[in-house]
Amino acid sequence: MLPLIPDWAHHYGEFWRAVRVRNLWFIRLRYFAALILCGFFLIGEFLLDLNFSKDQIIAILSISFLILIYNIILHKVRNYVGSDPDKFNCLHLSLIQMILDLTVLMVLVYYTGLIESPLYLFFIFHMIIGSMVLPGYIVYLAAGLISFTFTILALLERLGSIKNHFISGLSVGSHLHTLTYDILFIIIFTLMLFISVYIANRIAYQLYRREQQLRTSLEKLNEAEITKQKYTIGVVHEIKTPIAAVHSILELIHKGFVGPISEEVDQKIKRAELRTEESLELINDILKISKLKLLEIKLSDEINICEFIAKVIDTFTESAKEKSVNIFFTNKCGKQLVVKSDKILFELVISNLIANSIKYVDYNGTVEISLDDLGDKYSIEVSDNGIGIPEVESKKIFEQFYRASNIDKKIHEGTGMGLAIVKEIVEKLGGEIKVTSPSHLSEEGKPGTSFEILLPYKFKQSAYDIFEVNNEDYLKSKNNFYDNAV
Amino acid sequence: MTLIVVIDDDPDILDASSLVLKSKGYNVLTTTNPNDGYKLIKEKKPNLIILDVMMDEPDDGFFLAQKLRKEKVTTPILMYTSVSKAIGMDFGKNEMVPVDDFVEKPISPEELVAKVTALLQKAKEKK
Repeated sequence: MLPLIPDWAHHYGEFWRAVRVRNLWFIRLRYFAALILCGFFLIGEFLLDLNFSKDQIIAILSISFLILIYNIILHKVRNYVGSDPDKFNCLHLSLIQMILDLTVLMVLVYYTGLIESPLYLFFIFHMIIGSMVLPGYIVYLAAGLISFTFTILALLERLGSIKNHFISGLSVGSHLHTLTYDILFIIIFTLMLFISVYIANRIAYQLYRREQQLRTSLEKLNEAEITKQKYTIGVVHEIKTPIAAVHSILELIHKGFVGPISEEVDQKIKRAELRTEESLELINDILKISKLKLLEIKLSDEINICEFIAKVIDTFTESAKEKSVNIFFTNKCGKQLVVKSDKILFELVISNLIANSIKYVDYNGTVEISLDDLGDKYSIEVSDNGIGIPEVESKKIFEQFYRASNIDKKIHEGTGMGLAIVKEIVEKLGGEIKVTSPSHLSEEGKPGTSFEILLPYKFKQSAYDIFEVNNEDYLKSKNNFYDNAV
Repeated sequence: MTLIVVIDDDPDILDASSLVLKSKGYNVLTTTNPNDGYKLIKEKKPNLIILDVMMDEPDDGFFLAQKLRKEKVTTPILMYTSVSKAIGMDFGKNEMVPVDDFVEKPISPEELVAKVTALLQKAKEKK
């Protein structure tokens, strides 16, 4: 397979995405080209009296039709063309497009008078586009071929071997030029082609270089992030060890393993235990976030969402009973939705949201979880009639360590990490999370909050993950990288 | 009498573990050094081993467990971990970690006793 791809771009998702988007764009534009060509014929024939010959009419109309047909085929084929540098890929599709376009353009130019044709300028425009998309040598080759074919056709016309199809409505009297004119025209035309390629190619190359640098920096940044998260896990672990030991010792004292203690001391010990638990919770949350940042999600777990949510709700039976909270689950779409996702992450999201709702509703409060199918994605909504979230803070609540201003921090202990974790996961899974307060369950003095997560059935890379995977070797090396990191 | 060997580099954890286990009538030997621990296990042939995942060197606990299993020591092993649950690691199915159960720090006395009893019971049934 013709190697069209610079080495550095082999596994560079952004590069491939750009090529694919560009292909689609060209295909869309080409429909207009076919249309405009038809328009050119109609206007020329009926408004401008260009007096097309029969050959020209047949040529122009069949070329319009041909462009339309191959464009439809390209449009269909495009979806099946991948991004594997070693196989037929979307860049090869770009090349095919260019070859087809240049070929029909050459035929069109021939049938509109070759040297007299005003359409020859389109070659230059194709050279500029080609240089932006394809490697230099291919475009130079194309320029050479165009110039060569043009010369041969002009020569054959001059020798009378082939017919000259000048547009009769455009010429007054004799349309013939001297040989010098032809030679001069071809020389200037060829120069024009090559200069366009040279300049456009230089600019494209500089842009590619810039992109390459950008990509290297991004890769470094990614590695630095991993190092940072590893470091965090290490440090936090070191902090956790002594705190966990303190907690164990306090618990032993409190539970009487070391002998009897007075009521007063016991009270204080209990307090100390609670405070260490608080810091342990925070430590665990930080560990979770760090681990999440390092994690490559695997989407191999099959999850029946209804069953899964019901199971998660079950784990809250105790804490809901303590507060007399009613938890409802409704499946709005009435279907059994089965998705492929990561069980651990999925559970973290649902349980964090439910725990949050239970925490911030009053005694006898209501928590409602609903599931709905939205075509290409599904929605899970967790609503409550709790204390709500002030509108101005609705964005900040997803920040790490942020706790809404209306929380009574003495009653509701928390680390401010729960929602940050949820957001991190939802984004990893290619979804989004929305918060509304007051919720539809709002009551007098209890505005309530509603969190809605929207997850796609088909996983898409999140926008900032530029390292799209193209082949298995790369996937393997990448996985090893992450495995070693943890 | 049932003998339990506990190996952890944190003397406070050793102290706490032995306090709890002794209160339930088990014989407990502790050490902070994995090498001493290994010798202790070979010599005294305990009924249960408790290992910490990370000692002075990370993963020392894993390596010791692997070494013991390689030498066909079938004594049940309970492992103390400190970040496993927090980072959602599922050790249960991992062949690399040939241990029978885990307790995440901070260790609660009840959980420790429950897991130790269960493991000893299972070992007895096997025999």
